[in-house]
Amino acid sequence: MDRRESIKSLLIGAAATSALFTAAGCEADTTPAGGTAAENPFPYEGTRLPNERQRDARFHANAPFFSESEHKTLDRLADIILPADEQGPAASATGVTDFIDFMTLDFPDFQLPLRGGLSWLSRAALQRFGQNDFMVLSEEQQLAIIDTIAYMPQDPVEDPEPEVAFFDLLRRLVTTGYFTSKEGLKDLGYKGNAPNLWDGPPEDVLRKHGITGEEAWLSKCIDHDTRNEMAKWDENGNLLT
Amino acid sequence: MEIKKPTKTYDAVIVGSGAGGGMTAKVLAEQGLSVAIVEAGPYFDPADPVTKTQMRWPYESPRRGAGSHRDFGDFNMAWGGWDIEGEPYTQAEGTDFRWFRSRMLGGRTNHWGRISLRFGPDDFRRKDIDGLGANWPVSYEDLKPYYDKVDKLIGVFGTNEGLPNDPDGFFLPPPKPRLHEWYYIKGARKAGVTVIPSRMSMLTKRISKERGLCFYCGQCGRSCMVYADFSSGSCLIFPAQKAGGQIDLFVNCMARSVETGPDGKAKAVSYVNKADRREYQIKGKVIVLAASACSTARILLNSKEGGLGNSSGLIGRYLHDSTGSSMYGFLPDLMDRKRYNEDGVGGMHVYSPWWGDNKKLDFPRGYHIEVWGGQSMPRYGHGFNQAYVQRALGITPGGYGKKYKEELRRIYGAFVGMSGRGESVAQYDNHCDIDPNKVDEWGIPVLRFHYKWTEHERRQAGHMQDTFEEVLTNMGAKILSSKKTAEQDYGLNKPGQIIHEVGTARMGDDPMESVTNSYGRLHEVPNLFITDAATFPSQADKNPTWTIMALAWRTSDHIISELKKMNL
Repeated sequence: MDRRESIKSLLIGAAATSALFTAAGCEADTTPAGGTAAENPFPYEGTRLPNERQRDARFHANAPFFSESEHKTLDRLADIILPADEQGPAASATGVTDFIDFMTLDFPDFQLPLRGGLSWLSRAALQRFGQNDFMVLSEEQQLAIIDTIAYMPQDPVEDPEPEVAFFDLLRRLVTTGYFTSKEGLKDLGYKGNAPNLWDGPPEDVLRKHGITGEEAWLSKCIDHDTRNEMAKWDENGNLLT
Repeated sequence: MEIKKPTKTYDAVIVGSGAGGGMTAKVLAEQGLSVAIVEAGPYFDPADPVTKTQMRWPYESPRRGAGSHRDFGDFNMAWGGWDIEGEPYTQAEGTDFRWFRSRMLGGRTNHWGRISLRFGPDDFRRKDIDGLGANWPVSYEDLKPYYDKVDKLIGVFGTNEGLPNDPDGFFLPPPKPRLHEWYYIKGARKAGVTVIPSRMSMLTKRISKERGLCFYCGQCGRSCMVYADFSSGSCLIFPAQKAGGQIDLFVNCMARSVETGPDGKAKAVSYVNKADRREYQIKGKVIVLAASACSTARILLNSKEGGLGNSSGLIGRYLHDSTGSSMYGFLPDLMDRKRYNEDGVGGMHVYSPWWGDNKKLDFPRGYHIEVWGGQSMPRYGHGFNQAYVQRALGITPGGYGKKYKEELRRIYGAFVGMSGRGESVAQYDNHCDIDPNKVDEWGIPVLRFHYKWTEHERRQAGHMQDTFEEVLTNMGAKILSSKKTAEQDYGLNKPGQIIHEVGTARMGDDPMESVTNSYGRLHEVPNLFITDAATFPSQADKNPTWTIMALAWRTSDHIISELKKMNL
């Protein structure tokens, strides 16, 4: 049996579910297209229970939480945290502020520190540079302010100042938002969420990490070439196929 | 809306459609009995593309899969959770028990970890060994034929290791370890901790033409659309229906009580149909409760003043969940990893069964260790612990910009964690009863929990923390979750959080010391049976599902045999 069986059918997505029962059997000889699953034609909303759907709809109806000007500032801060580089786009280009806006409705506890932090930025901008809008400052001026709030205490038990806590929360949300976006997943190099036949780490990885002499363990593991043969055992539980 | 009304008397009415209810329905229907299943949640088929969460990307969820509404996150396939709107439970003072319910066909089997462990010979006679709790009225030898049948029917990968209290079985070959699991293997060996391939119910190899094979997406918690993992719907109920079994599903029907006749026999199950909020009764010659340990206790306690079949006073008593404690760290050796798909099966490929000798330790029961980590799919929370990683690496915590972005790439996939899942000692005082002052939205009196861990569990959790620290250190990991102290109960999870609650109607030979006999048959109600984990006198350091199914199969055979003998 070809080990590449079934993979294309699985990539077609949910519409092909009925076909999958045969597909996961042994027909198609197709090549895996790792990591590039087709768009799911069935919307995410269908996976929600009625009360979950209502809750999400309420949030969407109340969005945006942040004003247009706050959104612009958040976009800028997101890009300060995760700027564009050779490997990936700037965070703002991946929808992180919309995600953060949704999360402030989903977790109302985020509202106060994020709003308070944005106001703190205005005050800092006025005090240091005579402008009460962080967005009109030069990049150098913006970073001079951010440098004062960008680092957490060395001791994890110590509580940071509110403006440091604000930036830390924002940094977390931007980081999560970016690396769970389509572009961020690609940047990170996540290869999963795609049908495959797991056969252990690649040889070069095993060598690099000094994983050797484990034949006894490996000999017990699945040989995918036999996976379609119906399992049969002797009376003592020894697998015969 | 059309309301399905029960019209006939069924040979068997089963409450609950999870591991116990599904297995009972399958075995009875295959023997030609007419079966009704009463399930509190809606119909669910993992293959339904509309509700399917498997293979979805984090960005499909507006909260990127956060668990702010659905426990374990948006993609987890449990319709319910620790808190369900309209279906509350209460706590006695000083108790914080967490009760997880999954309201859907198949119940919690749709999302569970598929860790499929047989109890061992010692697990059935713990009182003989340490004087605590109660022995089972059955032995491993009694259950072994049923474990064997469950292995072959459902499919479980693993290896025969000849361990004394972790019996061999009929296994499919396991998947190879992931990279961090190889590190774990080395670290565990060095600490003298046994480590073997996992035993889990995903199909690495074909056992039937009806079910697909694992394609290693690592998402069993979302329930498998090709039926490559075990769930009660895909592996028990649907196949039994396809084979011509008469199984009528009464979904969205919340059982309230068991009705008895003047002869003391069970006659019917009363339930509320959630669609029209009206009360119905469904008649059965045999009634089987498989609603989950606490729901089964609740139904019995609500069936009659003082509880149905409760002369022993033990319904609701001896409630116990597995212990849990965890630690995780960061492996500098795994920085800058080569990227490849290592989703694997949903969960660990290697684990540690209990290796210790409790006679030499200051706590009576053991635990197993589960391992996690690697290049898993990012979801809500990804990167949240970066400050801890930075501190461990001697970098000033925080920061921003290209340097920070690069750090995040470099550490991806370098985390590893360990969780202990241990056996607690069943206590008479740990129990659930009916709160006299509260009902749920269906008008059914709710459960009130009374639960306190003892020194047995705390000391065991302390041993877990010591072991995790040693193994993680052996692996070269920097520990990120600080070691939990005695003041923190060694990180012991709240009772109920491990979702292995058992014991509320324990089995035994003495009717004053138990609620059912070894077949789950109530001592006082001859045609009323229990096939969920309510009957477990003790927990074992193993997940309960495999034993639930072995017992349910044995009980179902017994029901058939008793029906033939006209004893029911």
